[in-house]
Amino acid sequence: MSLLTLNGVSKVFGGLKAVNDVDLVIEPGEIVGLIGPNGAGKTTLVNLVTGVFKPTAGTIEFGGKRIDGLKPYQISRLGVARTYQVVQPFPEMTVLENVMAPATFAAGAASVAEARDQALEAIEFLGLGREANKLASELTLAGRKRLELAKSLAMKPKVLLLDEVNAGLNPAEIDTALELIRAIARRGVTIILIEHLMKVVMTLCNRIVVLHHGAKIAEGEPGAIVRDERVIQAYLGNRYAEANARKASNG
Amino acid sequence: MMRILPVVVAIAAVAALPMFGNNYVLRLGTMFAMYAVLAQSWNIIGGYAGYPSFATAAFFGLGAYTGAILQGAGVPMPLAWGAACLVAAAFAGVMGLAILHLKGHYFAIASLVLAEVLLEVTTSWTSLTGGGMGLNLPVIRMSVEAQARLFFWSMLTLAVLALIMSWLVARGRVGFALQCIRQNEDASSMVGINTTLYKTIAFVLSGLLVGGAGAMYASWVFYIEPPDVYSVMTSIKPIVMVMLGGAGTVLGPVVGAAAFLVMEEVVWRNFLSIHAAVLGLTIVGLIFFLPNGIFGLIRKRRTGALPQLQRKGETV
Amino acid sequence: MFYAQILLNGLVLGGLYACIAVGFSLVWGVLNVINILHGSFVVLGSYIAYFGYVHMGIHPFASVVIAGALLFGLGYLVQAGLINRVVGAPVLTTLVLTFGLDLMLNNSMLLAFTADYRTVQVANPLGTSVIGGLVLPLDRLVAMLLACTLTGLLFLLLKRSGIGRAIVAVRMDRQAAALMGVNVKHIYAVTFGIGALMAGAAGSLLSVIFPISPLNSSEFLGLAFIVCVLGGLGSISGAIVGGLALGVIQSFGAVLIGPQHGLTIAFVLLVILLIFKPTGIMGRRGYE
Repeated sequence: MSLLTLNGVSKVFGGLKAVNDVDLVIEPGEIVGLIGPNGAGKTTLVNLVTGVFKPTAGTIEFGGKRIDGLKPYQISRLGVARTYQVVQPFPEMTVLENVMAPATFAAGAASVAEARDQALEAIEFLGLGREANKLASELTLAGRKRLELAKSLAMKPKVLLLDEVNAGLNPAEIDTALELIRAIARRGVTIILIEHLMKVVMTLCNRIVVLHHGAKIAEGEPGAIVRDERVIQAYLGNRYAEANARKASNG
Repeated sequence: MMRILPVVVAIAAVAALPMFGNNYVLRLGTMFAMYAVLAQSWNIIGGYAGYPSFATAAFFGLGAYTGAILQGAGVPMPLAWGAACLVAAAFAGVMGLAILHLKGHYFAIASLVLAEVLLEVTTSWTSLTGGGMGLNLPVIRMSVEAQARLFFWSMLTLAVLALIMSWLVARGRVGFALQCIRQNEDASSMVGINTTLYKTIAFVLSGLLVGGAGAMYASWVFYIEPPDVYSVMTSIKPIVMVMLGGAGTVLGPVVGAAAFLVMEEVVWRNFLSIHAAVLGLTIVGLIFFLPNGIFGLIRKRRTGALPQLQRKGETV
Repeated sequence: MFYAQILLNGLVLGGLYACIAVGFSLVWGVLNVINILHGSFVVLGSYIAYFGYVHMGIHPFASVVIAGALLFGLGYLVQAGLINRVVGAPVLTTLVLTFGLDLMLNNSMLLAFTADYRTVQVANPLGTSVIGGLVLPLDRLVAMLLACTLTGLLFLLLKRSGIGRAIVAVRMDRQAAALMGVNVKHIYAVTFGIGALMAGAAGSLLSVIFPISPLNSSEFLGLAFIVCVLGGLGSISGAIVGGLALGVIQSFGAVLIGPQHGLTIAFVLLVILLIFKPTGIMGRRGYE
């Protein structure tokens, strides 16, 4: 059974169709890249899956159960975790306390001790062990991104939606982040990755979905997507696409 | 972090007040206990959850009238007080569901207006409440001294209950959830917190014992009228007390209540005509010079949210 | 005819309500501060008109200018000196701060003027005239027209003048405005001053209609709240729509339910609005 299924999902805001009739099936164990130019509707799609918005049309199923219409906290308890483009920690709490929150409320830890253990495990996994008692506001940006990942892990998620997790990181930090994401995937978490950096998408993902103006315009393996006409047109415009096509037929 | 033993000793000392003091001191003690109930209750929705509630007067007045009407119908005093707690809690639950989705100023105004609406309704419903002419409570057949002791210990019991409630919330799941909600409500939903549930719990708890305090107050003063028990000052003073002591701490509201009472008595006895202005000046001074309250001065470094992680000798 | 009269009464009252509220709305919309002092500013404006008339024979309608100027100065100083320090602080802080300041102002007025209700008995009142079967209380009508003129002037100020555009810019994006060279602190103080000015001016106009006492200040504040929530925050038109709507609702309510319930009606309306549509009739805007 597929892990996550979107069927004809649309979202309309006022007059704007932010997501337009998207079908998507995610199987367990995949690392799927979700790409598209700015404003393509990627974050809106994530918000729809996590329950922040209700779809105007279409259904979303997780593990065979309908989740569209459920509240965000209910969906997170079912095993859907997400990180934010602009990190959202609890600034006045320590790293440990930050991670204990999802361990307690999403993963349902029965006691403070259990929550602490689960939190510590996630913190160690993300390499934040030495900063467990620092306030979240005292971390660097890279540290805060790791904190977001630790919080997601502490939720014992089945699927993790990463929204531009690499924004603001330098190349060294990005390489570390890639390693961490691979490690998380090896633990059995299915990953959906919204990314602008092609290098990340090409190396990590086994499948790529391309959105443009809210609609899915292409889907497939990384190699095929990069050469896909519609994708090139969406990113680089008509003239480039035509020039490229001419070069291909001449070359 | 609260040490249990000194607090228990302090409570015992206060409870022994009737042995050492006269009626005036007992009256002050009763007022202190009442203020402690109001401040601690507000702290749960305003300090822990971070929702600026001005509904305290609504709960207090509702409790006062519930208690008074029931006592007038022959219900024994303690039962009337208990019923007042439940009515106030129920009201908080229903209104909470209606207004807790509002943010910031809108929530503040909505909570403030609750008392105004209740005041108007109470004033109009003359057959039940005596309307603008007020309501008398049945006389208690007891000596003045015995009554003073009765109300002192009753109000003190309520204050201790409020302390226990505050402490349990702070160290439990509810307190943890409220801290998260206060710091980042959207992220809280994302980590599995049912924010509507916890906010409503906080609002209900902020009204439960305040209702009882209102009913006790009514029994204590024997006569109530709407502008007296629904006064907006009943909503403002607990906030000032908590700001004075330190919001979001367990003992802060109690310390603040004591400090506020002392200041209030001094001003009432010496500067009656300008007591409102002095309160105003205190507020302004507090905001500019003591923004984290007395406890904020003591606890220079914020050590995070969860008291249970701060046991002595704990290393992580 | 009967209903037309009620409607007219409501509109006249409503125009005054709009004037009371528009300054409050401006401060709330631009500084995100709910100015609890607003009601007391209105009362202060009434007192200025009263004493101006009693001691110097200045007609209250002319006092509008004096009251406006004095209150502008007071508002500017209060904002620049005190409120500016907590701009950006949580809602609770600014609310409690302005509440504390209001306690001080109100207590001072009580001490200075006592709680006794005063009225301005103008020597040559305009009286009433009857046109087409409708009774027109001329003093109220003139007051309302002056109130509308003032509101209109404020609208022009915001739309056309340099300072008006600066105010709108600050509301839209404080940091961007600062980068463009706008002195944000000064603009905040000016905005607050304008809010106080409108309150004082409204107070002067109201002095011939309502009795004057510091005890009234919370009622004016309450009216300002309701108008803002009813009409929608962040636009002059919102304050006007809200004010007129409130005036008409109260006018009809007084006839249908009873005049003593005017305030109750207003507050119940407020609660219902807050629960279902806090952004009001015109929705929340930004003075653009």
